Amino acid sequence: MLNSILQCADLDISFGNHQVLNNLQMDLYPGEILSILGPSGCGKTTLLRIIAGLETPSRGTIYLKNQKIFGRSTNLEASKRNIGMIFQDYALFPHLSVEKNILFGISHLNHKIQVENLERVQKLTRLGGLLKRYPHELSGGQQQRVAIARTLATSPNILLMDEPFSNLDASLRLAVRMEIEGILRESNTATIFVTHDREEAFSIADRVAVMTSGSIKQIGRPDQIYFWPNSKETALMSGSCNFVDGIISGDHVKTSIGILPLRITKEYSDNEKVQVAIRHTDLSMEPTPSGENTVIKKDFRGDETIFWVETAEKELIQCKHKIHTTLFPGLKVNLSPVQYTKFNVFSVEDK
Amino acid sequence: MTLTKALPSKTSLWILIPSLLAAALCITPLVYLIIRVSGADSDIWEWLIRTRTLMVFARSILLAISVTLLSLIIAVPITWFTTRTNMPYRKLWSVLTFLPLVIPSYVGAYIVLSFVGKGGLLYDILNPLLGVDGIPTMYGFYGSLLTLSFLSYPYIILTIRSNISSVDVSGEETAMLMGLNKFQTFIKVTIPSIKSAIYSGSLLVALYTLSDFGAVSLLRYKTFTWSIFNQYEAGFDRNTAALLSLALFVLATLFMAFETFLRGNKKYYKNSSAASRRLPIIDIGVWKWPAAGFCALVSLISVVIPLLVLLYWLVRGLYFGEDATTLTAESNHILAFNSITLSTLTAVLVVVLALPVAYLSVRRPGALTNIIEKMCFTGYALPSIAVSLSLVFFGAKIGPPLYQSLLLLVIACAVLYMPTGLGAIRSSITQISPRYEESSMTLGKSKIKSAILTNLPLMKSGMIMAAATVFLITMKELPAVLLLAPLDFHTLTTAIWSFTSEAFFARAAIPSILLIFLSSIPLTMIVLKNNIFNSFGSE
Repeated sequence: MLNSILQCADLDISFGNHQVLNNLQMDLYPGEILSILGPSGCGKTTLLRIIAGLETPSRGTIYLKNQKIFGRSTNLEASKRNIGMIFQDYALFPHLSVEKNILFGISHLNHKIQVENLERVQKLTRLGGLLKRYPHELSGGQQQRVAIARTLATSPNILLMDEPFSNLDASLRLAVRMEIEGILRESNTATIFVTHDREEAFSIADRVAVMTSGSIKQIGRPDQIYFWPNSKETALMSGSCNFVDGIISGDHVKTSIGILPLRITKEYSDNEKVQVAIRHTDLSMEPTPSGENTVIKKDFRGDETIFWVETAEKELIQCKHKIHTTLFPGLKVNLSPVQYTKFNVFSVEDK
Repeated sequence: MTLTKALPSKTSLWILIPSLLAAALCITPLVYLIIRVSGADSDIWEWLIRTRTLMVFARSILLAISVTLLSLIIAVPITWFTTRTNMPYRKLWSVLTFLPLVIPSYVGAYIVLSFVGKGGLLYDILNPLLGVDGIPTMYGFYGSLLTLSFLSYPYIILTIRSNISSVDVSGEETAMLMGLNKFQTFIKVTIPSIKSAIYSGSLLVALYTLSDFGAVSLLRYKTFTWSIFNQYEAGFDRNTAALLSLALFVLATLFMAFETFLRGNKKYYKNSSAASRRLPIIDIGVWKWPAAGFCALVSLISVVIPLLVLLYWLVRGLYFGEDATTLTAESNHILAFNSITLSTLTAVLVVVLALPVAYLSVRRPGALTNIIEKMCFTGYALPSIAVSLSLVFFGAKIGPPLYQSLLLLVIACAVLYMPTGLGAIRSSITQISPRYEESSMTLGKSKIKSAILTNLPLMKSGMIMAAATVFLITMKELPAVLLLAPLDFHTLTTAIWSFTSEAFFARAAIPSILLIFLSSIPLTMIVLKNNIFNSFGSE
């Protein structure tokens, strides 16, 4: 196993009576991009602030490059950790030009090194023509690049980004995302970024950590998180999902809509009651008068249409479908798994 | 609460220690008054409940409440007319009704006396017509009430205006849609939404009246401040003056508590999405003419007549050779220079003292910060005469070089106006995102360096505003200068006071005009900076 550059263990923090982080474990490897995916209020920003040294956890340890920076008797000041942090609103100093912003963190170095660093990061972030401008004269995407340049100029051990794309117009987001990924890859800086947007988390990151209510529930490659979620919660965070009751039967599970193939067999014993996770794209619909399921709602969204289908057992399943003109509420349909699709099941106790 | 919880977290001593010093300085006058009173004979407590003392209480409370009510009657309609209705010349009335702020209370009293008082402008005309007994006397309650009300109503206008964004436009619209007419909507929606601004404006006026010394002493209405000064001047028992000062402090604190009680815990939230909407102008039909008439009348009484009276005395003084320099050795430019020196030094000291405290209160809230901030607000409840008196005693005890030094006077003014400066600086830090400081720390700068490098450059205009405001109010300060100024140190305010108390009306004109002119400079700056007349109510 590779040597990690950052290790967080057993982190706890509370604000008042609200426990924000609960025994959190996490690590980060050199050069990798890790995204933390979680709903708002799950503590992901607090985690970044703790790593940066801006909040003090009540318990736990943090190692950076095998050096303890936080522990029972250690708490290295934020300014001595050399961890770069990019805030959601970028926090560019409004009274300083782009150039002065970038030089802010390296103003104690000698002039020649300052110039070299400036040259290096402005090339990396393509800020050439903007050096004399002030933050308010820049677009959101440009401001973000300045924030990254300012941080990279200090050659940080790792980089932390808090919801980096949430302040950008939806139309810009994709382009900026690809650009930022390019910069991060080129600078080869290990990065953690937090987001509540699943698509963002999956598309940039080498690994995704799913975080809910103060701890990390699952960490792995994006496809692992999507196809092998370890809990109902992770399944819901990693993609749209319905849950229906089922009973295990060999390598299949019996449900109100039919018999579905299991992705992981032999996990549960025969006749055990389980919950089956069904993604919106897992089932196809076939209109037939003898069908046992009824379309009760149609939600047209342009690229796709979502149908709410009620099963014989009164369970609700949402299905994504491209063609919408021939399907309408009140129609009887048959549901069957799309070819090669396999299904994840969870224990009924799993909330 | 454990000590670690009481201490503001992550506080650098570089900020905590100066804050503690500032707080200690601000609390000194109050503490010394308490020491002084507790060390005095026990029979002064009996003196406190004597009828004469109780009358002083009653008069002070009566005047404070009456002035507040009259100011409300003047200010609330004017604010509504100038911001929300289609009354003609709204901007003109806005500016005119703002101007009384530059007139100190004793100048107001001087104007009243020199206009209708004995030997005044109207006196010679009225005397043959009405006889001496027929001329309404301006001395006493009614004179003080009129003078102070027409000087302090702008405080209420300003407080309401600065909170005008809390008016919930969608609430008004909803009320109209539900069938309420304009008047009902005004009573049921608009007034409640500015209620808390009305309360805090009223408190300002009540405290202003309670602590006023200049007007009541010139108009001979025997309130607290007048009694304190007299006890001190008479000089046989200075402990009673200290006791009265403490009683005045308690009274001011009660006023503040009452305001907090009225305001309650209610918060008037509004939809944030409606925040930036411009307030709609309401058509009040033919009523716009009486409305304009009302504003014109108030402007006439509180601005136009006072200025004309001043000009009359100026011209009369210049033409008839009533030279303003005959009473004291100093000429007016030395008086002006002294006033400016005092105000500048005070402004600088307040800004320096307020910076660390404001930083703590915004960035490092906690129990200790709370105490420090409360201590720095002593000057808000401890009237000028009380602060000055305490520091006179204190200075006399310490002796030279502090006693009768300019430094002690500057300290007194700084303690008095610390709340004002602190408020202005605090609000400028509030507008700076704490993320700048945190960014700076993650970029490798130490805590104290980060605090300075990221906040100070962005606070420049906030600091200038604070300094300008403190300068403005120190220019008008009277009791502190009377009690604490070094022997040969005279300012415009002391000159106006002594000329007026001896009815040398012509001689008081030049210093009064100079004072108003010099105060107008920082005031104009503050007005322009804050867009007081532009941000609302214009077509």
